[in-house]
Amino acid sequence: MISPKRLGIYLLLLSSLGSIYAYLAFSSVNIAFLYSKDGSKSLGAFAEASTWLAKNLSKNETALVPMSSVFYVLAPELRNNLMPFKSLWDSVDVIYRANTTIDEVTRIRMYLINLLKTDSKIKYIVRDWGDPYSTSIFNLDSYDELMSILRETAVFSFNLSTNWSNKITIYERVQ
Amino acid sequence: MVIPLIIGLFCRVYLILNCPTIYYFDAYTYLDAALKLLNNGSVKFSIGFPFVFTLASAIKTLSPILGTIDASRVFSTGCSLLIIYILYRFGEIIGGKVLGTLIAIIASIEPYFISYAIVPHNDVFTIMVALLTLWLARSNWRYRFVICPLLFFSAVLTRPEFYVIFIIPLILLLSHRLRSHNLKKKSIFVVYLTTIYILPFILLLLFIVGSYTRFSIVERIVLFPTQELLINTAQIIFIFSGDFLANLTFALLPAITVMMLILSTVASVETIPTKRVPIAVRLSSLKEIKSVFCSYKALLVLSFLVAFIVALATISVYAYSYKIVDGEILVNFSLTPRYIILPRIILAFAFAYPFSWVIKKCLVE
Repeated sequence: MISPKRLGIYLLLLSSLGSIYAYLAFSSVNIAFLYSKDGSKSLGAFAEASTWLAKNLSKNETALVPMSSVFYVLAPELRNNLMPFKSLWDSVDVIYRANTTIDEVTRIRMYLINLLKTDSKIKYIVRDWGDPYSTSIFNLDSYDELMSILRETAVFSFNLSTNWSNKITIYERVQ
Repeated sequence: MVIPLIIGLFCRVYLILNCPTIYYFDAYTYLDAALKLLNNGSVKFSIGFPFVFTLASAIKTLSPILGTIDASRVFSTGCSLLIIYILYRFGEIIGGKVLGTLIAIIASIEPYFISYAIVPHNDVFTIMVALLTLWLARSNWRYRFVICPLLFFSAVLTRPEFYVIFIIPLILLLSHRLRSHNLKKKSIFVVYLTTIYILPFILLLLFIVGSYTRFSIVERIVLFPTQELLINTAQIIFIFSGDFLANLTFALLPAITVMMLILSTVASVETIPTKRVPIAVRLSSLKEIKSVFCSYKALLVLSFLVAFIVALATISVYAYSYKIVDGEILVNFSLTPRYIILPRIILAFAFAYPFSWVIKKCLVE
């Protein structure tokens, strides 16, 4: 028969450890839900953008997109109408590396400007916040004409639980 | 066993219902590759292809009922539930059903494990395959010497760093049953290890890892194992909440486990009789202690401890992104959460031990 003193110690240990584990479980599940819902919100912007492109792109038109696989999965019917930003890098023969230079990005940006001027098939350009192949082009401090030949057409923004916000912008090429 | 599986399944199903969009960019890359494989048979034998093959098979089987995206999510959820089951079985061997259940529950609610378990991402799949390899390695199934390398290299070809993390535990568990064998069999085992596990890794280093251009593996190994990064990784692994005191309390649990293990080791060593006792009695006591230290329990604890420490070091070397500006390396100190799933899952063993000890004491008395 267990003594009352020992029983008390065990009950105390059980309840204190139990409450630590309960808080651990609560924190873990809470983080999981917040983290996943935030992720779902940010990728939800991609879902909205792909629906928009599916509605607005006609058969012979092309859109330059970041994270092309996201669009391929969300709107498989657009597979032949999408051009990934990575293809610009491949065309200029530059590999994205940790030490990619400003000169290399400038070359790709110039290539993009020329492409927009010459290839009439490209109708839209999608800009996101995460794809290194597109953000490095758009974030480059440059006084060239890229932004003047693009017109903002649609914006899909979101706000996360951490108060971090961002957006996907679809630009139309100015004729 | 049923309780952790129900808790794990509930969390995952709830999240799937509340997060309609798959939310990791890489998940789309894998899904796209699997769909290309299914639609045009285009195969790309690059890093991750074992996962893409398995995902494509799962989508082909499940998509007529669930649709492509949900089929991929159910596949990933299934992998995560298998991880919970394997952890329960490991825990059961180490400390009985109570410890097994607690380990499985704690692992099943690991935040990033839940989060990555409902998207078709390679992390959960790779952890499942790696743990399954360890589970088979410890068994006495005669085909384990054939199946283990197949599974192990499926994991390694999906996530190359898993080679470094799991090779020592795998060799420990495979070799455990060979202790009593003769020299000839031991020699055959050494040849088997070299040809099956070591040579393919050298080929992997030469032909696949060498093709990494975005983040040079040489730069990483030479420049990254710094104390600062190791501490940063350890801190990230132990942050479970926004509250400092709560995180400190959680970090105390593994510390208590280590203390309890050290104390029980000291206690067992102290049972060796003094010189006055006949030598035969002393030898039998030593044998008893040896049987404890060389038991499967001890070997499993050692295996997971090694895997945890190596995972910590590997993450510090491999997982941080960096930029080189004007010849200077700028490291981004935030870590993609998927890298900490494995160490957190292993940590569940240390989290569960003190509570299981108290529960067992209560049940016994």
